[in-house]
Amino acid sequence: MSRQSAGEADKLVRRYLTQLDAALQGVEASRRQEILAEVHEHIEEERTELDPDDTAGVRALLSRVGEPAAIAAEADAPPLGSGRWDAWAPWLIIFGPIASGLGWIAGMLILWPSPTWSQRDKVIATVVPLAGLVALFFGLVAALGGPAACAGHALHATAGCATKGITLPLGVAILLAVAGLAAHLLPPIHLMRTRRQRSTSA
Amino acid sequence: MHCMEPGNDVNWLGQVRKGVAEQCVLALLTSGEKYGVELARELTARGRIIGSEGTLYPLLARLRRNGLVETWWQESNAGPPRRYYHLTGDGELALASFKKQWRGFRDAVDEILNEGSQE
Repeated sequence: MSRQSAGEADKLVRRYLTQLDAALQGVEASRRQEILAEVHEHIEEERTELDPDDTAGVRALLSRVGEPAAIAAEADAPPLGSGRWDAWAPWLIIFGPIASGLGWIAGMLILWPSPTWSQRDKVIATVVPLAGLVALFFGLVAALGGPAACAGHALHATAGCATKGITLPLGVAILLAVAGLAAHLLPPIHLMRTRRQRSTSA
Repeated sequence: MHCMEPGNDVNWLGQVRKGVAEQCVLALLTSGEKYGVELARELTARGRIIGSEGTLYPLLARLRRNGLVETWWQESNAGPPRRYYHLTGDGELALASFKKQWRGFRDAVDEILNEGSQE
């Protein structure tokens, strides 16, 4: 029981630091690290006076440390409104390449200058969904085109069938399509979540 | 977020705090080096010079960057080593000049406010 609540208190601290890190997006990296490290030290220092499993104490402590947004404002983090088209970026990344390349380009033009996301998230959201889309496409062609093109072998499709130069066992083709879909959707979903986290912490 | 409703003191206080809190940190360090929790407690206890304890750290980062404060690690008898903050020579000079200007500024504001209340 007590071990469980110690875990609970640790989780509160970790969640707080994640929110602070998100709120500090847009602050220069080395300064952001400094502030995060010192706030973390502050919390750990104050926690030495508490029982490790005192979750109520940790909550009170974190509320004294204050709103992540207030700390970010003191650090001159760009306010959330500075990326006001942010909400569109994930959707444009998902549907842009399918509808028309222009949508995707618009998504990139919103994504890259925005202070809401880290450099790493931006790189991932640029490269991975496109690669995912390619994998999804080939997976689908192999899975759907394969068995249809050699109707005689339909029941043995898992044994493999060649169409348009793509030869893949059905299972692998489906796996490829599913992995492609995940790769296409997960990075933009991550962008949405990061953005929401920032706006609730602001 | 900050409200701008009339009668809400958060807005102007936030503006004034921003400049003055740094000077208060320098002043607290003239009596010797201190660690973060110590500074944060003094500043929030005394009329909430800073909004919340956490806002101290961006402020200290700024002072350090401007060379007014230095930090180092020191062993503590209770728990892990602590980061201590220490006033530099430049910090002392900055504080001295702030003190002079602040008194003039404060007197001028008081004078204007008093004139206003006499009319």
